[in-house]
Amino acid sequence: MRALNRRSFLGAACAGGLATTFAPSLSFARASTDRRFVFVLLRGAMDGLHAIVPAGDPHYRAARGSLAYAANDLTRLDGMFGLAPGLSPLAASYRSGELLPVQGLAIPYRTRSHFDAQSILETGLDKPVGAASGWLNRTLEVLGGASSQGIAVGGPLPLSMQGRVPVATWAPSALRSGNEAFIDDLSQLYNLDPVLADPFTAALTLQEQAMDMDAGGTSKRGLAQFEQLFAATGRFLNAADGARIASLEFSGWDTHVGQGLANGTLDRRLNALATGLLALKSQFSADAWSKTVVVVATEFGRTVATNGSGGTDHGTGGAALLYGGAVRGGRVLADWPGLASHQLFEQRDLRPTFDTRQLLKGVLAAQFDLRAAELDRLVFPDSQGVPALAGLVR
Amino acid sequence: MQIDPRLRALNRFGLGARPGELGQIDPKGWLRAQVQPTAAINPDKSLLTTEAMIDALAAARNTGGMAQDRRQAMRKQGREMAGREVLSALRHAATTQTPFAERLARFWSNHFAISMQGEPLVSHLAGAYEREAIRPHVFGRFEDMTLASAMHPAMLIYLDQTRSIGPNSRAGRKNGRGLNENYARELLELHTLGVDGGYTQDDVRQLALMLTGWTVGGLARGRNGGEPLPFSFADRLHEPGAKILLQRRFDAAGEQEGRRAIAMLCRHPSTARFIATKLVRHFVADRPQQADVDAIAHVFQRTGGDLRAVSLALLERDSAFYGTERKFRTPQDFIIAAARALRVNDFDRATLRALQSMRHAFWSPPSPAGYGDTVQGWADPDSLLRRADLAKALTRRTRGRNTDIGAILAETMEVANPSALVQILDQQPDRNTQLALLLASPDFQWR
Repeated sequence: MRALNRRSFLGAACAGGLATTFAPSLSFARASTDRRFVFVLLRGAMDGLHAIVPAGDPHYRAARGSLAYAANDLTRLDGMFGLAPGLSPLAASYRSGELLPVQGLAIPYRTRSHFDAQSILETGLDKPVGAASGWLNRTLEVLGGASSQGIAVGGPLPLSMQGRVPVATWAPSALRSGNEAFIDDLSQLYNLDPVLADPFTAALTLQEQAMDMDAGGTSKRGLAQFEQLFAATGRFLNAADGARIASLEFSGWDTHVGQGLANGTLDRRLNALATGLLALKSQFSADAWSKTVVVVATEFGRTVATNGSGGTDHGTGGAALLYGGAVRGGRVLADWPGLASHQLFEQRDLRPTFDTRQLLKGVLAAQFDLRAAELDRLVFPDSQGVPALAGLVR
Repeated sequence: MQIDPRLRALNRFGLGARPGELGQIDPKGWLRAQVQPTAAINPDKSLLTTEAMIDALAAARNTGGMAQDRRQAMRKQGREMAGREVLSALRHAATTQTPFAERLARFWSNHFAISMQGEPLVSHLAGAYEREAIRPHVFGRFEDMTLASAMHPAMLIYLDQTRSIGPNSRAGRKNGRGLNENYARELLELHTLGVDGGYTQDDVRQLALMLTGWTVGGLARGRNGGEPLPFSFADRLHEPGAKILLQRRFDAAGEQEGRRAIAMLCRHPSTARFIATKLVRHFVADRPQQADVDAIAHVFQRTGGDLRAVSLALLERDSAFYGTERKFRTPQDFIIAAARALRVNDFDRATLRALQSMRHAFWSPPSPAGYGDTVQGWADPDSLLRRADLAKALTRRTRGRNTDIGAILAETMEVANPSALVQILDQQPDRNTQLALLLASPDFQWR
C-alpha cells in the first residue's frame, strides 16, 4: 500500500473523474486567460512617503523632520522621487520598465480607521458598509467559467477574495517531512468521500505546485515569510493550468513608533517586500512573466510629519507599486500635490490626487479585457464616475 | 452507513462523543435533560464581568501618559483578555456535561455575532458579551437575548451604535454629525427579520432614529454614583419626534422606542422563519427541509420566541436522528470533538493560532453575519490539511496514556467505509499515528 504515493493518488483521482463541485481543482481546469494578476495588501498602512520618497520636494526635509532620508541613501527615480534603500533591489526592474511606483492615491472615503479603510479597499465600495464580497472575487465571477481561478495565499481568506466564487487557499503547512505516508493514507480515505475528495486533492496539488516534496513546506516566520509566500504564489500562477488571480497580504506596517531610516524597522520590511517580489518573478517563465501584473497596495498613507515617538500616524494619500512583465513602468505615476503645509490634506496628510479604484480598474481592464460596464457596476459597484487609468499595462 | 441515534445525539446535537458515553445514554432523554436554564452557563469564575471591564477601561483612559502608549497598552490588554476568555471557553466546551446547551450557546453567540477584527475594545468585551448577553438566555426568551445583545457595549461598539446621533437631537444640531445605520440594519437583516424579511431602506433609517441615544455610558463619563455604566441612554443624542417602523407609528418615548421596536421585531413572523431556518441548517442539514423549518417556526411563533420550547422542538425532528444528510464540523467544533474523544481538557496558544489559520478564531468573523454553517465554507483545501496537522499535534499530547483506539472508532464516529478505514489503520506504524489518522479521517470531520 505504501507504493501508492501522493503523485499516483493524484493521478488516480484525475483518472477517476471526480466531480469538481468545490474548490477550483487546479489540475482539471482549462484556463481561458493566460494573464496573471496578484493583489498584495499591506495591512496597517504602509508609509508611502518612506517608500517612494519625494526627496525633490522643496519642503521634504522640513516636513518630514527626523524621518527624512539622507539623499545618498536613496535610489534616484526621477527629479522628484527616490526609492527607499530597502527597495533598492527593485532598481533594476524600474530601469527595465517592470516597476511603476504610484504616489498620492487613496480610497474614495475619508477615514483614518484601519478597519473601515481596509474594508473599503477590499470590498471595492465607496463606503464602509458590510459587503459580503470583495472585488477580486467579483472579478473572478465576471471572468466566469474555467478561467475563474483564484487563490488566497498565506493567511485567512481576505475580504477581497470572499464571495460567490469558490477560491482556493494555501499556506505553508506545519506538516514536516516524514508525514508523506500519513498524508498518502489519508488521501485514500478522502478519495472515498464524495464531498471532501475534491478539496483534499486540490490541497495536495497546491502543495506540489508550491514546492518540491523535499523542500518542505514548514511555515516561516517574520520577514522570511515574504520570500516564501511570494515564491509559492509565483509557482501557482506560472503553472500552465494554475491559478490566474492571487491575493497575498502582510501586516506589520502600522509604524506609530520608531519607524527608522536606512535599515530601520520599516526599511527592513520594505526590503523583505522587494526580495519577495523578486522571488515571485524568479518562479515565472519569460512568457508567463510578460503577462503578469502585481499590484501592491495599502489602506492609506501616513502623516507627513514625524510624531512624538519617531513614527507616523494614520494619514490619507499613500503609495502603491505596480510590478510585472506586463507593466508599463520605468516612471513614477503621480500628480504631485506637494508637501508645503497649505498643500496638505487637513494640514497633515498627503493630499490624494486619485482614487485607488482608478488604478485597479486600469489594471483589470487591460489584463482581463473587462468592459467598462462590468468594472463600473459589478467589480466596483456604482463607480461610473471613476475612470480607469489608461496606459498602465503593455 | 449504519445510523445510530445515540451517536447523532452526541455528535449532531452535542460537541462530540467521548469513549464510554455511548452505552449510557437514551438519545432524546439525554438531550432533553440538558434543556435547563443553568446548563448553558460557563462556570469559570476567574473571568471579568462587563462592569469590571468597563471600569478598568475607564480608569486606564483617565491615567495620564502618552495617548500612543495608552493605546498600545490597551491593545495588549485586549489581546490578553481575549486569549484568557477563549481558552476558558474552549476548556468549557471540551469538558461540559451539557454539550447540547453549549452548542446552542455557541449558535446564538454566532447569530448575534460581534467581531474582534474591528474595534479594539471588542476584544476586551467579547467573552463577557457571550457570558452575560447570550448564555443566560439560551433557554429563555429570544426577545430578552436580542435586547441583552443590543444593550451590551460589545455590540454597541462593534456595530457603531455609539456613533449614531439623531440629526435633530441636541448633539446633532450642534456639531452636524449624524445617523449611523449600521446596527439598525444588522438588527433587521441579521438578528431578526432576515434579509428578505420585508423591510425597506426607510425602515432601516427609522429604526436607526429610534435607537439613537443607545450608547456605552461608563467609558466617557466614568462611574455614575459609584456604579460603572456599561449601557446608558443619552437623551441629547436621541432624535425627537414620532417614527414609523414597518408601517406602525411609534410616539416619541426616548429609550423606550428602541425597546418597543425590538419587541415588535422579535414577534414578527419573518423572524420566526429566519431563526427556524438557521437552527435547522445548524443542527439538521445544510439545505433545510421546509417541513423542519415550518415546525420550528411554528413553535417559535406560538410561544413568542420561547427558546426552551424551540430547543425541545428541534429534538423532535427525526430527520436529524435518522436522515442521511451529514453536517460538516467547523474548525472549532473539530478541535473540540477531537479533544473530547481524546479527553484532552486544556488548550494552548498553538490551538488558537491553528484556529486562526483555519479562519475560525473565536469571536472574529469577517462580517456581522457571523461564521458560516455549511460544508462549502469550511472544507477548503488548506484547512483540510491543517486538520491533519492538528490531529497529529493533539494526539502527541496523549502520549503515555493508554487511549483506547477501538473505543474511539466504535463509539465516537459514524464510519462510511469501515473496511477501508480499518485496513488503513492497520498499516500505521504506531498507536499515535493510528489515533491521528482516525481524527484526521473524513469520517471524523462529519457529524
